[in-house]
Amino acid sequence: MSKSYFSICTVVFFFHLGGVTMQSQERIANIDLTEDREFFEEQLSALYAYYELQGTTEILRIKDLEIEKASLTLNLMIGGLSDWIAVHESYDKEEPNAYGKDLFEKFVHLMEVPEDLATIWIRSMSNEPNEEVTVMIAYRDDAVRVFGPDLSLRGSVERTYVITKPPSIVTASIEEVDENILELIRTTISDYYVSRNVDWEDGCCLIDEDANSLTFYVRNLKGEIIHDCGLFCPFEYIVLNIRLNRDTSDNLRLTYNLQGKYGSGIFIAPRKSGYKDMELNKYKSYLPDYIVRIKNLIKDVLKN
Amino acid sequence: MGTEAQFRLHIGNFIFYSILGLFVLLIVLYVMVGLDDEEFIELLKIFTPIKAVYVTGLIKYVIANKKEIKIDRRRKQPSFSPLYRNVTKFMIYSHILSLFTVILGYALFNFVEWNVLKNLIIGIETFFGSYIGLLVTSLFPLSET
Repeated sequence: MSKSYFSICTVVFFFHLGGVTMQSQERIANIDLTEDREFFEEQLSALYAYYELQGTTEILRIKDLEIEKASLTLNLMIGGLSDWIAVHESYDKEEPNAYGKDLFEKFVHLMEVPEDLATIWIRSMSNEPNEEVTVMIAYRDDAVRVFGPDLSLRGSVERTYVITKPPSIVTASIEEVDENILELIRTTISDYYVSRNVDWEDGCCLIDEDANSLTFYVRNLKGEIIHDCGLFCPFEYIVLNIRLNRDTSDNLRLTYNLQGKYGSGIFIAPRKSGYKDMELNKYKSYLPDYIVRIKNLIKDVLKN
Repeated sequence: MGTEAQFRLHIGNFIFYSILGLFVLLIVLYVMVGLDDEEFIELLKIFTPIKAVYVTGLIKYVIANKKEIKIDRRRKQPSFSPLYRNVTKFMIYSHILSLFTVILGYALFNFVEWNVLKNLIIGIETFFGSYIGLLVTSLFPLSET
């Protein structure tokens, strides 16, 4: 079952590859990731530290990192299919492939590469037919996709997505409502970040939008996540992803994913590669608190 | 012009206070988050052994000359040649000045990446280190007691 599913996925993947636009090909032609080999190798130890922090180093091992001109591939080894399923079951998110997606996002975040140039391959160490598993995680069609065994078909929880009609009192369609909500969130968060610009250097605030999610890339802020640093605060680099999902009863769910980095500097912020991951050091505890603050900000706006 | 003893005192004071100043600067920049924990510790690891070599030479000289030397003011005191004095001053001042410049440039303005800064510091220490080692040994000889 898992093998045939994977074959289909592989065909679909190569089909998608053919659809890469000329524009992105031109952009990729100008990139040479091999120039930053030293940085990537340094970040690989940070990635290992992150897996250690998650307690997954026993079952998930880093094999190697392939650095090519326009692609960065992380090869991971996992015990077998049962380990892959166990890791997902112990993961605290309802989405079937949340673990794989979070692995990918952390990889991209630490390596500082565009999402479409990064790939993660996870292969099983076990040779038993029932335990063999190959998973590919990559950015395709404006979203992070996990190509591998269908985890939604396993376990007792039914995860099939059913779109039901909205209640009769709502005149707008669900899509329109979602669009308006996303727009409201986009305005609220970007206004908030723009209002928090530091004096010495303009904070930059990029928004990456796709169908049902918003990603904010905010750099060069001080005292935002690390809010109690007093007079002297490190520079922060925040990647905040807000995803809008609807469950089977059309209830709205907002999923937050926050990646924070910090860097030293008094007047001028460090370069992008000069930032360090907050999750791997003493600032880790600030991240959940910050998500609560952002949630409350959005909640207040949505209530009104 | 100044005598040998005065020049020695001047250079000895400069080395001692500039090294002290360097460590104070590192602490101040760390407190102001111009350097983060890892950077601060790594710079301490780089500077402590290198600077210890200079200070040890200086302290050895001080210990070897702990007794007050009576100067006969009627006799003309020896002095170093202008070339020696200028080269010594140039090397010691440039060394400290370049270290202060790169560290402040990084902490205040992030003018280079961390790895580049480390290489710069190691380069500066290697370039000046051997010359200053020679000058300090000749300026503060243990045999001259």
